[in-house]
Amino acid sequence: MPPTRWSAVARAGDRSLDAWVHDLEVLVRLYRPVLVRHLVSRFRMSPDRAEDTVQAFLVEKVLVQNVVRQATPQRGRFRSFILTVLDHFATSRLRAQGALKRRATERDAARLDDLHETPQGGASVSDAFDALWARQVLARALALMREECARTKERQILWDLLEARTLGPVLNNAAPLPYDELVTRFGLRSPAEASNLLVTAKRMFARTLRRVVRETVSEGREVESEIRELKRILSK
Amino acid sequence: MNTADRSTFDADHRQLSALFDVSADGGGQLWEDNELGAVLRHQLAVPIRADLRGLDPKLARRFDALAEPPDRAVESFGGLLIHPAPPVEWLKAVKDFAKTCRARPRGPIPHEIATVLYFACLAAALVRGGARITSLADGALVGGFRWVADQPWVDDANRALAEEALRFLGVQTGTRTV
Repeated sequence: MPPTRWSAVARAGDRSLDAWVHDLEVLVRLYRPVLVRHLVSRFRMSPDRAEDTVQAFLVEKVLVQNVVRQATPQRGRFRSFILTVLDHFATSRLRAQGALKRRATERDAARLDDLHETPQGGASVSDAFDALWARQVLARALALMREECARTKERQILWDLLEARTLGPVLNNAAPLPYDELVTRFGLRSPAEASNLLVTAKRMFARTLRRVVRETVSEGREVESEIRELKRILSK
Repeated sequence: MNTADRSTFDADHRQLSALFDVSADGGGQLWEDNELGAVLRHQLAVPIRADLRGLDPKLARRFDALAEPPDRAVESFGGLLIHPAPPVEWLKAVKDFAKTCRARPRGPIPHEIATVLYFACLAAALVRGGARITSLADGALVGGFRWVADQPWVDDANRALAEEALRFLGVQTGTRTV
């Protein structure tokens, strides 16, 4: 489980502790996909180039310069902190590489200039990043649940039912599989059994989601409000 | 990055936001109307004895102690509920079965179906058995009968039974709540 609560962020930034490598690794695992997608979206980089930039960012800023130790709850959410540092890094890197002069359209240049000068642009960048973050939280929760379900046959069916009935319609616009088809496909005794298993699967997902969110907030009591906030971000 | 991750990042954001609504109690609409109709039809055709025995040993013993039904038609849930003179003790047993199912998150039948069975038993006892087998006040009964009558997936016989019970309680019927 990625320990991105503030205590873990602090550990990741404290090189005097043995745990920093592990904590930093799990921090990176959670944030890396969002950072890459953010660069693709914000700077219109190709995915490969965004991967390279994030890799360089992680090595130079996170590993060598240890910017994580500068993050504190007083400076706002960790994701906002890391976004600001990454944007500075990407901008500097683009300029240093001369890519800005050669390739950027006027629009790209304006977007880069907006980074720190226009509050409106800053807010929309932050919103876009928050939306990516909300998606990443869901992706992480789904990946964890899928992993856990894959361990036993009894649990695999929970994932299969959730996918057929809930995830398919949400992620792929698929029609929810009717219960009588679920019964046939998964060899269940009745539609009611399918319904009960689906309730169990939803509970498992809700628990997993809360575990993931719990690791990204300072205190347990913030979990539900963070979930509401992530939902609000995606509902816009 | 795997397919599910890609889907999470590519999916429509408003649809995706619904995943944050999946609550720890497994809530959210599990059944479509047509599915509830199919499950109710199935449930009404099932022998009462089999389901009551499977749910709870105490309920099973109580049911076994009941007198034999006046005719075999009563042996299914549907048969009992449409019978012109249903045995009240059987209605009580089925009512308790439905109540137990409603109270159990992982009961053998969907919550909505259990609710229909529950209020259908109360209605049948009231209008055909001449007995009140619940301590619910009239207001709660009216609310329950109205709910049954308003569900588009409820079969005609049980909707008619709920409306008859509403009239029995002095409530005007004929307009569906929307």
